[in-house]
Order: sequence, then structure tokens, then C-alpha cells
Amino acid sequence: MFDEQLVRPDPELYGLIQQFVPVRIVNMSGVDVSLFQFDYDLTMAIMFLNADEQVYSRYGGRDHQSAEKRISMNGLKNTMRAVLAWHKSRSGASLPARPRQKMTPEDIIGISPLPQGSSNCIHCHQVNEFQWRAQKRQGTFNPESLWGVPLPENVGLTMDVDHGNRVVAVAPGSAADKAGIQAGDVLEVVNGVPTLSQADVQWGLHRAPSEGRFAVQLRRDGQEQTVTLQVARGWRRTNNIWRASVRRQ
Amino acid sequence: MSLVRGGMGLIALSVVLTALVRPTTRADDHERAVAWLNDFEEAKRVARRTGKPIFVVFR
Repeated sequence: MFDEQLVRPDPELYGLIQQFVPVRIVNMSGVDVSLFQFDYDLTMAIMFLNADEQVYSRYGGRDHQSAEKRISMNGLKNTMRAVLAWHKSRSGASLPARPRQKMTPEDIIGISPLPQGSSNCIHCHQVNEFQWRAQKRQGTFNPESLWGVPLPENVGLTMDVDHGNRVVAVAPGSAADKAGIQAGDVLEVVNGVPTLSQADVQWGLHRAPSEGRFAVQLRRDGQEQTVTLQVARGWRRTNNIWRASVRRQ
Repeated sequence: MSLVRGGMGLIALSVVLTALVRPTTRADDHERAVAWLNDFEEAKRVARRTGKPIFVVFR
């Protein structure tokens, strides 16, 4: 349904999309997954970048209870507005290309690229499956990676669906609570990842250690603050049975 | 004659009101059809030329 709204956008969304270069990718074959890093189990995910391949934001998310309760059309529009503001603020400044080794799903498992126009298709969730298959072959597989892209609730945070980087509630006694995060705080950077959406918050958590500490920059009443979250072993674990990549392990 | 003129006026008014309050039509949808690209390299070229950021949807 959400995807249908992108195909036939309302006038406001259409006006926002017109301020971007829109790209639609339905086959991961040949896609550079060293650049396009997101939650590959989602049926729809969005990334915002510039021509220098600087990633501004991600959008999309779900959990075992619902495919759509973590996303909203207002949430997408607000993220788009934030991306446009960020892009405008750096307009004219060209970033040097980041050193990056292109990696396609085919490269991960060592198969030839699918021919152009092939009826075969690599689905997003297969990227995880290919990575885990290669890691198992190399003996580097970490079972904790099955709990990728953790929910904000795993550290005690409930985020606003329409303003995905705004904290709605903090669970008492949670890692977020102990770090001093409060309802109403706006998370700006989570573990080094700039956060404009809930998907960005989750991506910052995705890159966090299995146990240990990481920093969160936030804004409260107009003031910037940095707090430290401490997470214990197993903090990533949650109901992930909805993930196609996990079900196939 | 005045009855005929009055009738024509009502018809004209109803046409105008219908145009103002009509629901979204397929033609409107068509006008708002997004010109999606499917090649990221092409998108980067367009983004560089236009100064726009890139919006990538994975389905």
C-alpha cells in the first residue's frame, strides 16, 4: 500500500519527489551493496544520497507485529524535507569520493553477474543470505548478525512515527534511560550515523557493538548534548521471525 | 427567453462547480506520474546536472 502511494503520490508527496532524482530498483543484481546498506529484509526501503554518494538518510522499517506501524506518509515527507534542508545547506560543496571497494551480491558468493534483461532476480533479503553463506564458508559467521538492524526498543527507546528521530518514550531502567535520554529529545547522531528517521536510528544501532558503549548526540530544548549508551550481551535479540533471510537459515 | 437564459446560467454554474469539487481522476494521477529512473549511475549524472539529491526506492 505504501509503495502504491509512491507510484501514485498525493500532490504534496509529488511536489517533494520532484525535488529529487527518483530511482526505483527492483533487482539487487549488480547493485553496489558497499554503498546501498540498509535493512535488506524490508519489502520497501528508501535511501537518500547525493551525486557524491554521500548518504543522507534511510527510510523504512517494520517489526514482527506489523509491516507498517513504523512508517507513515507524514514520516516519509518529514524525512524528505530534512534531507532537502541538509542537501541545500551543503549545496555547491563537492565531497571527495570515499575510498570504497564496489561489492555486488554476485561478488559476495562468487558467481557471474546476471545477464542484462535476465528474468532471474536477486531479492534484497538474499544479500543477507549471501553474506552469511560466505561468512560461514570462511569461518567468520557471527550468530549475532541474525539480529541485525535492532529496534530502538531494544535500548529502551520508542520513536515518533511521523518524526522518526524524536523520542516519544524511554523505558525505565533501559540503556537509554541510564544514559539520560528523555522523551522529547531529538536524536541527531547515533553511533556515528546522522539520524533523520527511525531507520537511521536503527542503522546506528545496527553498527553498534554486541556489548559495550557507543555515543548518541541529541538535541533537547535547543541544546546539543552527547550521552553514552552501554549495552550488554544479547541486547540485539528480539523477535525477528518476520525476516525472510533469517527464516532461511 | 429569460427562462432559457436562466437555465443556461445554472448549467454554466454547475459546470464550474463540478470542475472545482470533482474528485481526483486518472488524468490527475497521470499528470503526477513520477519519472522513475532505474539506473543509479544515470541518476548521479542527473543529480550532478540538476543539483538535486537522489531518492532511491528498493522494492
